[in-house]
Amino acid sequence: MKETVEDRALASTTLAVELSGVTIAYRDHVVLDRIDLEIGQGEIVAVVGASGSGKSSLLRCLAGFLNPTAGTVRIGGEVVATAETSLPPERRRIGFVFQQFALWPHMTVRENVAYPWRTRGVSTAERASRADELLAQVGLAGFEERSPTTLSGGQQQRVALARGLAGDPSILLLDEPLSSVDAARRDELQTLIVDIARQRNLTTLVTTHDQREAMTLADRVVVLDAGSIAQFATPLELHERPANAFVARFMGALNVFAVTVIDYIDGVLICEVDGDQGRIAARATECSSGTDVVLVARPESVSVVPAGLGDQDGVVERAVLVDGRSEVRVSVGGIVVRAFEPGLPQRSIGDSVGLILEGIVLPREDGAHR
Amino acid sequence: MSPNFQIVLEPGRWVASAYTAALSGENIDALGRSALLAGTAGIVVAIGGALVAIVVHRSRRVAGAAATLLSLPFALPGSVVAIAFLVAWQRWLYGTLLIIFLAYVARFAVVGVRTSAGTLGALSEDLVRAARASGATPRRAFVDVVWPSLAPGMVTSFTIVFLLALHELTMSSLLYGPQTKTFAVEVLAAEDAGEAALTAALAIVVTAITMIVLVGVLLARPSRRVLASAAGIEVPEWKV
Repeated sequence: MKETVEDRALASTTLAVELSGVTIAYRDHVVLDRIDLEIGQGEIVAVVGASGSGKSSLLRCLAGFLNPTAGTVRIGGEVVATAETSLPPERRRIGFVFQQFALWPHMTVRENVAYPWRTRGVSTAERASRADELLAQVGLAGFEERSPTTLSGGQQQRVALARGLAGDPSILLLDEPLSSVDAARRDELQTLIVDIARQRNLTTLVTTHDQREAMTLADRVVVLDAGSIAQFATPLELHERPANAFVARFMGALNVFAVTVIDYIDGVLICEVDGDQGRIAARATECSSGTDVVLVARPESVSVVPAGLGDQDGVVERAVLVDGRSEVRVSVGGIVVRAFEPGLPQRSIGDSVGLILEGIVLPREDGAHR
Repeated sequence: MSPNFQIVLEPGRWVASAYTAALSGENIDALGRSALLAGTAGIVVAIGGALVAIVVHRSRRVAGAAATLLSLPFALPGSVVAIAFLVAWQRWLYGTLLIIFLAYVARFAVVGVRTSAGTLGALSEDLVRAARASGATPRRAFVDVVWPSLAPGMVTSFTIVFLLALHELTMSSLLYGPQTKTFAVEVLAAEDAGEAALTAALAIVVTAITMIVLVGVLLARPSRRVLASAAGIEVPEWKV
């Protein structure tokens, strides 16, 4: 077939990954619920969610280990799976990295990495030299002849990463790649994954249950909640404009309240917290009285001031040092508000303090209380 | 004490002749027969056991029932199994090697199935998925990933069955015919006849074979390494 200008233009805008209406459901259990997702060439996308949110299933569905019960999966514009047909994993040109490495113990490190080329008929010498090149890239030169079982977790995952890159995949799928790696080795492995993906302009999907990991490595983040996409946005957007209470909470907003607006005075929203717990005031956009909303205030957006100087007063319940800053828990008439303050804790339990909350108002959803 | 044992102190013809007798005529025929029976039973149990284990692994529902059924001949006394085989097959197979072979396979089948089932149970599905993602068809993934994991266990199955069958006496002594005496039956016959030197020589021969096979398997370095890694044991490089 002759390639026309239009074809080429089309190809350049072809999405690397496209899911439309993808559902995976068992008799009594929906794993993924009508997922629509479009990922561009070379994008690094993190898929986050609690365990059971369907993030692994999403990856496995792209790989061909799981088939959708409805919807269409496209990789590089090509339909790889519908409810009726599915291209087997070996014909999808994917690289897959597993949480538990999944290296073959009866093969050497080199043989593991060279395997994707072996299945594609590349000669022994050629695939060995390509494997060695990849191993050098992941920092494992000199380990070629070793048995993978003799390596540390971090080293094994590097081998698995090299194997995932072998065979020149069009997309790289990593399922919780850092979860089985020592905390001390996580950062450098994460950097390695991002560097390699960028360098090769390789479309990459990474699942993780760690929102920090997702925020640091991804161009865009898919937040999954019980099989549905709660939000698909850049890390900054997730932080600034969470779509709902679930996302806000997942992104580390510890102060999430279901409230009814009572009044709005001089930029301060006065709210009645559900369940008759009391009132809370926050600086936020105006809402008419009587509306039911979700009020979100990130701990770093809560200022602790001397009593009487804030929008409300409370009593310090706890002040501890966490990650180099102090986390202060203040009870406002029984409602607990958390605040982060730089440096060592300056407050004592029982201190009376004032609070100023910079809040975001989100619409009420069924998921608000989860 | 038998005079034969006194002569052991003098290096010479008595001992040599006992070994000559042990390794000639009917005895060497019986040894050959036993080795053939044990070898084929070992191979069939190892391969058949792996195949059964694969089938059972894929259809978990029948797993429990199959495992219990296959354990039965191993749990029952050999004499019961042998008589069961006579009742069922003697009209057609009495006095053949086949009936002994079948009895061995039935009795030791559980060794092959259990060993391979254990390997498969410990084999992560992700290892197979990794092969598929690497471009391997299901068949290729089986050959490249599942099979090499099964192989060391199958060698173990073969070895155990071979050694057990090589000196199996209970079933053999009930199932042998004029042309199908096994080695253990010959040892028993020699002992019965009061030939202490010959009995001792025969026993030494079978013990030596056992030791050689065992040491051979233990020293088979690659399989040991594979065995260890398949079992998830980390073998330091210098030990391999």
